[in-house]
Amino acid sequence: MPALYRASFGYLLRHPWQLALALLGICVGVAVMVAVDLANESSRQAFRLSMDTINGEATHQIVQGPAGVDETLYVRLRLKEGIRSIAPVVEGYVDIGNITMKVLGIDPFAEREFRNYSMSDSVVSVNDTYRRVLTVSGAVLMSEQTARSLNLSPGDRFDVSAGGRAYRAELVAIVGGSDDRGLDNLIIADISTAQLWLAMLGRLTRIDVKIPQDDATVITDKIRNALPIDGQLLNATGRTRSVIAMSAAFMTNLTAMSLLALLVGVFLIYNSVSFAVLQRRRLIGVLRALGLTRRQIFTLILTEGLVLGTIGAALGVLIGMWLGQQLLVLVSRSINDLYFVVNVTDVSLSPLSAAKGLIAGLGATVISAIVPAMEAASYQPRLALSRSVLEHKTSKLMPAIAVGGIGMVVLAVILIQVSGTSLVAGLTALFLMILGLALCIPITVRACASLIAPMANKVGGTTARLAISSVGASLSRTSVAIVALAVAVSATVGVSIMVDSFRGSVSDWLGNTLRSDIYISVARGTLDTDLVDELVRVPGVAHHSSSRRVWLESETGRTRIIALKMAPGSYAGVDLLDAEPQDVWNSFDEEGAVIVSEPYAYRHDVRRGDTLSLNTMHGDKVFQIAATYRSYDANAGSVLMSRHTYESHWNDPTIGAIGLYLSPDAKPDEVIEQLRKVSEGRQSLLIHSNREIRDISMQIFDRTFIITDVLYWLAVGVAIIGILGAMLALELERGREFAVLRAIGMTPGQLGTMVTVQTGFMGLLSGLAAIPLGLLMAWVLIDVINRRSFGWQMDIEVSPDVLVTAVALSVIAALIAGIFPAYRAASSQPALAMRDE
Amino acid sequence: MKKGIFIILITLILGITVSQLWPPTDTIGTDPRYVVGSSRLAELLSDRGIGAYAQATEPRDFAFPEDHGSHPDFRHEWWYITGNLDGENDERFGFELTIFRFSLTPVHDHDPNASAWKTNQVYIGHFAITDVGNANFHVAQRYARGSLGLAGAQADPFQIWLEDWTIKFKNDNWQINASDKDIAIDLTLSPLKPPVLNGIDGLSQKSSERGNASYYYSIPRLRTVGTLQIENEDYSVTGLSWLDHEWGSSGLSNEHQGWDWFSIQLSDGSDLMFYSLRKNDGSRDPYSAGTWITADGHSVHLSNDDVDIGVEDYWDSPLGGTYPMAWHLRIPQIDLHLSLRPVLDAQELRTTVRYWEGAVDVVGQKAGMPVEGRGYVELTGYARRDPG
Repeated sequence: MPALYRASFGYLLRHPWQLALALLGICVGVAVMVAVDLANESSRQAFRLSMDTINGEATHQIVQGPAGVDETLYVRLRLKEGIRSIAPVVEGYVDIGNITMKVLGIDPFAEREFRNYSMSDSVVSVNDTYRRVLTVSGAVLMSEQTARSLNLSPGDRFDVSAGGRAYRAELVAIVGGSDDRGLDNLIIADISTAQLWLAMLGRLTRIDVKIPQDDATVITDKIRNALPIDGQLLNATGRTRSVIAMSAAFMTNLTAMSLLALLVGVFLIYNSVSFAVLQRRRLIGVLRALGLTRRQIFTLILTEGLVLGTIGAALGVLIGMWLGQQLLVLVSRSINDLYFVVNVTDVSLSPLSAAKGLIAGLGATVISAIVPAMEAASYQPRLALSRSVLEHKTSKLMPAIAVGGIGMVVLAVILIQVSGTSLVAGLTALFLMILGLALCIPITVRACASLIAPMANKVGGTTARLAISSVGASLSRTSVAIVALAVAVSATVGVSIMVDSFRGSVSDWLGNTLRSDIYISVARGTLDTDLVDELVRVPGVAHHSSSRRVWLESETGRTRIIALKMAPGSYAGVDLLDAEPQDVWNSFDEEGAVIVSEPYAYRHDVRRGDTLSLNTMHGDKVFQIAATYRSYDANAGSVLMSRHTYESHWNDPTIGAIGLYLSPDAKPDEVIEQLRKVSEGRQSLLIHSNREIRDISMQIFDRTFIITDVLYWLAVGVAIIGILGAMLALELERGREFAVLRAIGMTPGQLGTMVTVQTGFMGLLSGLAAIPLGLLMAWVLIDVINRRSFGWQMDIEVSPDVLVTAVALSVIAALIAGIFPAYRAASSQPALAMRDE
Repeated sequence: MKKGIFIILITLILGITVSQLWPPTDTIGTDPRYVVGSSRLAELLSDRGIGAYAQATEPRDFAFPEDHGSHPDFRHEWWYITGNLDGENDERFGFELTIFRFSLTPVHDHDPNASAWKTNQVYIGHFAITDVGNANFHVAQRYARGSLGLAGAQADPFQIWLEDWTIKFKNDNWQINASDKDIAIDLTLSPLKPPVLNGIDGLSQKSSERGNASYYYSIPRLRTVGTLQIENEDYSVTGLSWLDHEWGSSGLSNEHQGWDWFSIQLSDGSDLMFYSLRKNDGSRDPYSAGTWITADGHSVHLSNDDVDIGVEDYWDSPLGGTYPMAWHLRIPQIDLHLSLRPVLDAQELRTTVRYWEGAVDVVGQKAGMPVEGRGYVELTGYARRDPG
C-alpha cells in the first residue's frame, strides 16, 4: 500500500514542527541513555584496557600483605624453584605537574613473556635506550599519547613528585603504537627507578605469574609452597574484576537515571504520535470509509511510529555519542574521586551501546505508539470520533488505571521487602513506584479540576474557569503531559532530598570524625617516619594520632584496612552505631578487636560480636568485631584496627597521615608555619587545617553529584518539550472551540490568557503531584538504593525549599511550554477555523 | 667471542635483546645509521664513554684462579664452554654453555639508597645440546641483571651464575649446571692441561687499532663426566670439553662481517684453536689468529698466514643465510692436514643473535700419520633475515 504510506509521510513532511517534536522526544531519551551507557562503558573499558596492558599475559599475581612482596621471594622463585614465567612489578602513582600518572616498574629481562611494547622514535639507539632505562635513575618510557599530553619529546627531562618528594625523570623513548590506548597515562620505568620513586625499596607491588594450562597444578603447588605465610597467589583477571566491581553500584545508579530520562521520553513520544493521529482524524475517517480495515489503520500508524522511532533513535545515538563525551569527564572524575584512577580521553562507541540505544528507542516508540494507533483504528468510518466520546472513554478508564497504579506501588513495596540487598530489584521497585504513582495522577487531576473550577470562576472569571475545567475535560491529552512533568519534577525532588540528606549526614559525620586541628599527609605516599617524630614535637602540638590505609588482598577480594594510633581526642571521632564506647575501646586498643564501617557490615552481613578473618604475616587470623561505625567511604567498606594490632600482624611500619591536636594556647597558623619549616626540603607535605579538610571533602562530594544534577535537568528538559507538545495538540484540537469563543466575543488577549492559565494550572498540578512522588522517591533512594549500592545509612532531611522549588519549577516549565501555544491560540482567525463546518 | 669481535656480538645481542622485548628493531646493530647517526651514542662511545672502561692495551700477568672470575671494569666478558660427550650406549652429544657479562656503563656508583635492582651489569646465557642420534638440536637462552643475586660472578667460592645456570670452580675442577624446559646438564670438568694464553701472552689483538683487543685464554682439554638430560631421559656421559674466557672493552668494528672459530682436540693429545675474521668484502682479516697446543701443554701462536682454510660444503639455514659446513685445514708449519665435518648440520642457535655453533668430527694427517679428533666450530655473520 505504498500510496497510503506516501500520503502518511507526506503529511508528516508538511508538518515539520510536529515531525521535529516527535523525533526530539525519541532522540533526547535515547541520547541520554546512550550517553550514560557510553560514559560508563568507556570508563570501564579504559580501566580494563590499562589493566590488560599492565597485567599483560599474566594469569596470576603474587601479592603479600599491605607493604608488598619481599623482593627476595622473586629471586627465590626463580633460582631455587626454577619458576621462569614470573616478572616483578612495582606499581604506583606519581604526579607530574597536576597530572597523575601510573608508574609501571618492570625488569625488562623478565618482561618478554608478559608485556610486549614496540619502541620507536628514540633520539638514541635502542641499545642506548635500554642501557639508560637500566642504569639511569629516572629514565622512563611512555606512549606517544602520554608524551603528547605531558608535552614531552624523547630526551626531555621533567620532574615527578611521589610521596612528597621530587625526582628528576627523563623521557628516553616512545613505546607502543599510536593506537595502543592501554599505554595511555602510563609511565614505564625500570624497577629500580620505580622502587625509589614509590618508596618501595626491597618490596614489589606484586609478582606477575604466567601459569601454562598443561602443568598448572604442578607450578601452582610449587609457588604456593614457596610463598610466605601471608603471600597469596591470586587470579589476575579476578583481581581486575574485583576492582571494577567496586564501581558497579555507582554505574548502575547512573544507568537507572538515564532510564528515567528515557521513561520521560516515552511520554513525549506518546504525545507526539497522538498529536499526529489527532490531526488526521478526518483523513483516517475518510480512509476507513474508503474501505481500509482497522488492522490496516493500526499498522499504518504503528509503522509511522516505527519509522519515526528508527530515525529518532538513530539521531539519538549520534547525539548520545556527543553527549557521552561531555558526561565522560564527569563520570570519570567521580570514578577517580571514589574508586580507581582512570584516565579516559575519549568515548569508545561500542556497537552494543548503540544497539541498546536503538532497541530501547524503538521499543519505547512502539509502546507509546500502540495507544494512539489503537485510537486511530477505533475511529468510525463515517467520520472521526468526536472528542467528547473519546474523553468519555478516557474518563471511564481512569479508575481502572488508578487501581492498576496502586497495584504497582503495592508490588514495589513488596519487592523492596523481599529482595534483600539486590540493587537491581531496588531500582525496579523504584521504577514500578514511579509508574504506579504516575498512573494515579490523571484521576487526581480530574478531581482537582472539578474542585477548583468553581473557585477559579470567582477569582478569575469565565476565562479562568474555562481554563481550569478544560484541563479536567481533556484528560486524554493533558494527563500525559502532566504526568511527564510530574515525574521529571518529582525526580528532582527525590534526588534533591537524597543529596541534601546525604550532604547533611556527610557534613555531620565529617564534623564529628575530624577531631584533630591539623592534618598532615603526602600525595600518593607515606610519611617519612623520622620526620613524623620531629613534626609531633613542634611546640604547640599536644597530642597526635596517626593512620595508615591499606588494601589487603585475598582470593575473595580486597579489604580496606585502616590502622589508627589514637590520640585521647580521637575516640569521640569514631561514631559507634551499635555499641557503647566503654565496651569497645579497651578491646580495640588492648585485645586486637576491630571496628567495621557501616558499608562493610552491610556488605558482609556482620555486626558487633561477629568475627572476620584476615590474612596476616602469621597466616589467617580471626578478629573480633567490637562495633560498627558510621562511615561514608565509597567502597566495600573498611576495617578499623589499632596501630598496635596492625603492627603485630603485618610488617609495615609506614604511616600514611597524622592528625595533630594543639594545646589550647597554640595558634594553628603559627604551628603550621613551624611544621612547614621542619619539613622543608625533606618531604613536601599536605598540611591542612580541620576546616580545609572538611571543605575538600565536601567539594569532592559535590563534584560527585554534578553528574546526578545534569541527568535530572535533562529529564526536566524532556518534560518541558512534552508539555509543549501536549499544549500544541490541545490547541489544534480546540481550534474550533477557540474560534467559537472568539466569535462570541473573547478577545485574543483573553484567549491567550486562558491558554496560559491552563498550562500554568497543569504545571501547578504537576508540581503538587511531584511532591508526594518525590518524597517517596527520596525514601526509596535513601533507604533502598543508597543502602544497597553503598551500604550507607543517612537521616532524611526535607527542606521546604526543595518542595517550593519543585512546584515553582513545574509551573515555570509549563508556562514556558505554553507561550507558543498561547500565541497560536490568540492569533487564530475565527473565520478560518470555523470554515470547516 | 673467544675469537674476538665481541663488540659486534654485544651490539647484536643487546640490540636484539631489546628488539625482542620491544620490537621491531631487527636492524639495530647492523644498520650503521643507529651506530653513527646519533651524536649521543657517538658521545657514549667516545673516550669519555668507552675510554672510561678498562682497556686491553698491554699484555698482563694472568693469575689463576683469580682470573677465572669476572673483570667488571671491562665492558664485556664471557665464559664459553663447549664439549663432545658420549653416552653409555654409544649415544653421541655436543653441548655449549656460555655466560656473557656486559657492563652498561663504565662506572657504577654504589648509592646505598638505591634499589637493590640497580646495576650496570647484565648477563646473557646460551645453552645448547646436540643430540646426534636423534638429529636434534636444543637451545635455551636467558637474560638477567647482575644484581639481587639473579646473576653474577663471585670469587670465593668461585662461581658465575645466571639464575640457576652455574659455572663453579673448586679444587681445580669445574662444575657446570644448566637446565631448561627439555634439557639439562650436570657436568664435572677436570683440566688435563693448564690454561693457554692466546694471542701475545693473552692479549688478543683484533685489528691494527690500539686497544681493539681482548684478554683471552683457553683451557683446551677438560675431562668431562656427568649427566645430561633430554626430554626427561637421563644419560651418563663422558667426554672432552673446551673452556674459553675472554674480556675486553674495545669499540665497534664495522669492517668485520663475522668470524669462523675452530677448536679441535686431536687423538694424539694436541689441540688447535683458530679464528678467522671475515671482512665485509668476504676476505680474511690479517689479524685472524690461533694457537697450537701440544700434548704436553706447550703452545704456539698461529698467525693468519700460518693457516689455510678451504670450504668443502655448505648448508642453507631454513631461516635464511648459507653457512660453510665442511672444511679442510692445512697448517704447513706443523705438517697438519685436517678435514672437519659437523655431526649435524642444523646446529644453528636461533637466539636473539642467530649463529651456528656445533660439534664437528675431525680426520686427517699429522706429519704423515693419521689422526682423528673432535671439535667445536662457531660461525657468525652468515644469518640473513630472509630465507633464500
